[in-house]
Amino acid sequence: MRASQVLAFKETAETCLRRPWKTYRDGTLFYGQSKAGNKRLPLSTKQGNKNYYKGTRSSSIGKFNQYGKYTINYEKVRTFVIPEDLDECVLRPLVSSLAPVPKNSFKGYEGAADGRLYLDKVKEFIETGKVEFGRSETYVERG
Amino acid sequence: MFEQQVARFSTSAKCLARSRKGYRISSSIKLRPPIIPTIDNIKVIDDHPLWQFFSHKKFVRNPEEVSFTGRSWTVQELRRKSFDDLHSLWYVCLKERNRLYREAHVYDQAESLRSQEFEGLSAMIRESMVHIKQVITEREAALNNAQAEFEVVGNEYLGEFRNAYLEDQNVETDQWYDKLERLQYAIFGIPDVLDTSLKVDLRFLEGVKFVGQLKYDKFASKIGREDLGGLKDIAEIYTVFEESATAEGVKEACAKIDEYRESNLVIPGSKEIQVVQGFINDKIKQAESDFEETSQQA
Amino acid sequence: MSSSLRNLSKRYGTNLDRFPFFLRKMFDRLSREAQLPALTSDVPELPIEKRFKRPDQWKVEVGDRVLITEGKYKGHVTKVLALHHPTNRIFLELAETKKLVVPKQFWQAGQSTHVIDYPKTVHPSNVKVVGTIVDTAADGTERERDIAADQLVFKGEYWDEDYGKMMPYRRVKFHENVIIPWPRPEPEEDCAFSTAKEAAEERTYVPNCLVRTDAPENIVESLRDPIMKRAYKWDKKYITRSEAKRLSSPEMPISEAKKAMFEEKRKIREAIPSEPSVETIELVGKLVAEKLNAVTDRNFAAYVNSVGPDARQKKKEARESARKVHEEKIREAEERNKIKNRTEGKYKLRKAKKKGSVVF
Repeated sequence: MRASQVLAFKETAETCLRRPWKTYRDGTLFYGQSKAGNKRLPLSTKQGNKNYYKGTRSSSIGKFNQYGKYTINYEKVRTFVIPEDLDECVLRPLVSSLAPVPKNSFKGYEGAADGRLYLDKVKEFIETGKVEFGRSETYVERG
Repeated sequence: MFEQQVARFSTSAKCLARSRKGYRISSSIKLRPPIIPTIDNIKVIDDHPLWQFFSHKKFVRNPEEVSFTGRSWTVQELRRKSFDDLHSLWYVCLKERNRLYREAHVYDQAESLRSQEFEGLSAMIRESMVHIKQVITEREAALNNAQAEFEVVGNEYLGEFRNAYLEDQNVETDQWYDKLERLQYAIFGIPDVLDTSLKVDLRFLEGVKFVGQLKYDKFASKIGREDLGGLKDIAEIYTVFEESATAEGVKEACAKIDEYRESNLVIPGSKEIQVVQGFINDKIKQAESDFEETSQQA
Repeated sequence: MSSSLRNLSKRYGTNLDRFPFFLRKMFDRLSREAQLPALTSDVPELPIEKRFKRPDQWKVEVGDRVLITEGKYKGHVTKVLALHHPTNRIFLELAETKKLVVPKQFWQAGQSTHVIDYPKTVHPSNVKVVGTIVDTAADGTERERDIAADQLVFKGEYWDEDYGKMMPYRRVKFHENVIIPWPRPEPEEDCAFSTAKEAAEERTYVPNCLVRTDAPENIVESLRDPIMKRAYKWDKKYITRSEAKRLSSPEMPISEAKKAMFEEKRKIREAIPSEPSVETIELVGKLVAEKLNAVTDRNFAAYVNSVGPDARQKKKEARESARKVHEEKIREAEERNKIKNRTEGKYKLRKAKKKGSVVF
């Protein structure tokens, strides 16, 4: 037998707090104005059942005027934030096989997301104005 | 009214047939040989955005043209790159994958197995993109962890810095100016050049207080202005912060503080952010008007 | 793969990994039967986790000279042409071929018939790596000769410029001073998709601010789903229900009255003495001694003497000494076996040395 079944019949202050939908005998709520208040939020695109489709209001990018001409509303057009100097970018999708695969060393630290490592780099920057990333002959870099 | 409705919905051919004129086709329309639908009849402008889905304006590449010798970007390599570089690289990868996906689709429609080679390259590029995402999240996580770490050890570090600054005999050197500037930016996020988009927050305020107090403590006894009895509110601290980190700068600031104290104003702690934001906005406006004046004179 | 198959999702598509092994095998067989013989390989592809990744797993690299030890060309020395990663096998210059009927759409340049000889792959365990060593004769002349390594060991690492990574030293087993160097790889040219080495190695990011990085604000949130149900996946400040369960031990749902009863029972149990008091022992001992000393029957007296404390001590000592003797015997037998194994091993080694490491 589970203990919660017994507890469900008890009316302690704690159980009432944990079950805000419970009411007093006269029907008033234990606290709050409404039972379902926090559930009345707008649905997102991922919620709802299989028939729920919430668009992005972007499938139409304008409207037809009375003469049948389509005018584009540029606020509705999907935009992508593309860097300005994309044409001058020398980076390509792959790396030359002549470039050796580097490794990172995190000696004394937990890893790349270690806060102490980041802080030490910032301190080094304050002290000298630059951060040294030494690389050994075997391509092991400071992480 | 009924006639009007008929006229509106009926087709043009029916209209012509019902017209009183004897012929059905308008005399203004001339019969020409039919235009055969070929791709040569379609002209596309050179800078059409959809050309981005084509490599060198070619319909499809041969599988030999997409054979590659490189490898994906590794996380270690991407850790070297700034956000702008990563951003550019993301779009370079995305555009290349768009091209490859379209070409693979063309080969698929022809039931050719050659689409596999396009998909192979696409998978390699996808790995690069996954690594870009990893590096960005890793960097943000490191920043958050560092901020948490600074909560613990920050006061100790700032105390050490303060002691080093106060104990040094000669701090009116370029080395110390640069160091102070870097500290402002690195710990408190106060940039070298102020900008209209700058928002003053608690961290900014802390920086102003730290640096202003530091300068005053260093130079107050040297210029003989200990009679001020310490800086009393944020306006006084900001005047010291604004001036250069030299004895003369602090002296000027002290003169301004004397003027300010005549007004008997005291700024409460709740208004500090607003006041500093106001100072900065004023300064930027001043600089803009100065710039306009000089440009007009020129 | 046709486009319709490619677009199938992982959930609703045919995911063969979900089926049991025997069904997977059947599907594999069916797909093989449906394919053209030219497009099937004689060796099945391995799952990714079983494929070789390191050079010490492959034992050979492209360009190595190897001695073939199995099959039609047993005893010939050839070169490794390529590594076939999906099957962990290698292509050799001199290899058995199989005749394939190739559809016209897959014809290579210069091909004129449907039937071609296609080279078979070889497993790396069926070849021996050939190296060169220099012998110095008694009169000082140096002579190069080839050796084929029967077995290899990989000890130590060095940075290889041409491979651009750490490579293990390839040594001949039992002659570890003999190192067979890795062959030099053919230099690859950069393709149109690859970044130049200098551009890839350029550093443009330095962490220099504790307040923000160079990325725009809320960049991480923009990469994630804001209403994700399992946020703990990203953020460790949430813990799952199962993790919480593991952190706190479960409690038996017992009422307060029952708990009090258990406590009372425990106290009663503790109050009962587990061992007799000293007085009780003395009293019982005295009574027993009186009774035993008054025994008149001779047989019963002998029995009493035999189970007395002195007799028990003697029995214990005898058992102890017998055990020691037994252990000593076992130890001696083990040592004898060791010596035997060592001599047998030596004999086998001598035999292998005579047979193996063929010299050309």
